[in-house]
This record gives sequence, C-alpha cells and structure tokens, in this order.
Amino acid sequence: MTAVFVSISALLLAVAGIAKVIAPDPASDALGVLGLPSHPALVRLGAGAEALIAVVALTLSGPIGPALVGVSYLAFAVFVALLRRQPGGASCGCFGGEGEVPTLRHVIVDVIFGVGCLAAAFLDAPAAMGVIKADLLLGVGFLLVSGVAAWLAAVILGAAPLRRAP
Amino acid sequence: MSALVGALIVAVVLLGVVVIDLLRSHGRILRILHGAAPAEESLEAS
Repeated sequence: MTAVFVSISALLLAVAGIAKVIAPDPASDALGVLGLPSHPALVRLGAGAEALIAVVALTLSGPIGPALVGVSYLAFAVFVALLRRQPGGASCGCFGGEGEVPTLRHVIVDVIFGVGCLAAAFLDAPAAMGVIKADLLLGVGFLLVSGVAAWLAAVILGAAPLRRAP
Repeated sequence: MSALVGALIVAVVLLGVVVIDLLRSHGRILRILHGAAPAEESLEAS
C-alpha cells in the first residue's frame, strides 16, 4: 500500500524537477526571498537531483529511494511553510511557474507524501519497477493510475491547469 | 494487487478534492454572475 505514495510522489517529483531545470527562475526567486543560495545554476542542479531521486525511487528496490523522496517532500513542506510567512506572497516556483501560491494545502500535501514515502522506506515497499516485474498487467495498471493520481495532485497544488487557457 | 487498489484509492481521494475545488469555484462564478459578490473582491479572495 505504501508503494503508492512512492510512485505518485516520485512521478510528481520528476515532473517538478524537469520543470525547474527548464525554468529555474521562479524557484530561484523564492530561495532568494528566504535568504538561501539562489543562483539559477544551483536550482538547476538541485532540480536535476530531484529528477534523479525520482528515477531511483521508481526503478530500484530498497529503502534508499523512498527515504530520499520522503526527505525531499518534508524539506519542501518546511520551505513552503517558511515562504508562507514572508510578506508579499512570493511564488514557490516548485513547478517552474510564476504565481504558484505557497498555500497551506501545499504544505499538507508535501507532509502526507513525505510521511508516506518514509513509511514505505521503513516497510521496504516495492518500487514501481518491482510491481511491474511481479505482474506486468497489474504493474502497468498501477503505474498508469499512479500517473493519473500524480497529475491530480499537480492540479490540487495549482501546477497543472484543468482547462487549456483561451 | 494491493498496490493497484491503493493507487486507485489515492486517485479517487485526489479526484474528490479536485471536484470539490471545481464546485467551489463554480459557485463563486455563479455568485459573481448574479452580483452577490463583487468580482474584484471574489478574485482577491481566490
């Protein structure tokens, strides 16, 4: 059951990481607001690490991948919570876009995914690739449903629009 | 099998949140259209 959190969180992390590699400026601005190192090259490096962690969590069995994803999400939760306390309502830039409001919902989703992934690490939950190897049909279905859930989570976090802008 | 069921449960919960959001925003749009709430105020609240 906890494997669900790892697959959804890792898919979302991969998307967020790739988005920030492409557009690091909003996240760079948000880091700058908190007085943290904020050079766009550093953001790109961190975002690349995010995507790499996501790939490890999706493909390799063992507790390291889920633990890294869990710690990443808890760090995001702290980051967004600190950003919420800043005046001016800076965009968090988690998905590389401007105007991504750091809401309480964002913090809650990050904490749920973070705790879920750490639980998966402790319980030695299988990676998505392991689920596919065990049963191809169920595994592909699991990955597809996880992808849909990750997209819904992105919609909830305000990163993915439901309708195309006119 | 339990992994797939778990993924479906989480997806349904997330879908529920998205639907509630849509209903809430739809209600806000209706209030703006009926003049029950000034549009600027409603946009600021969102």
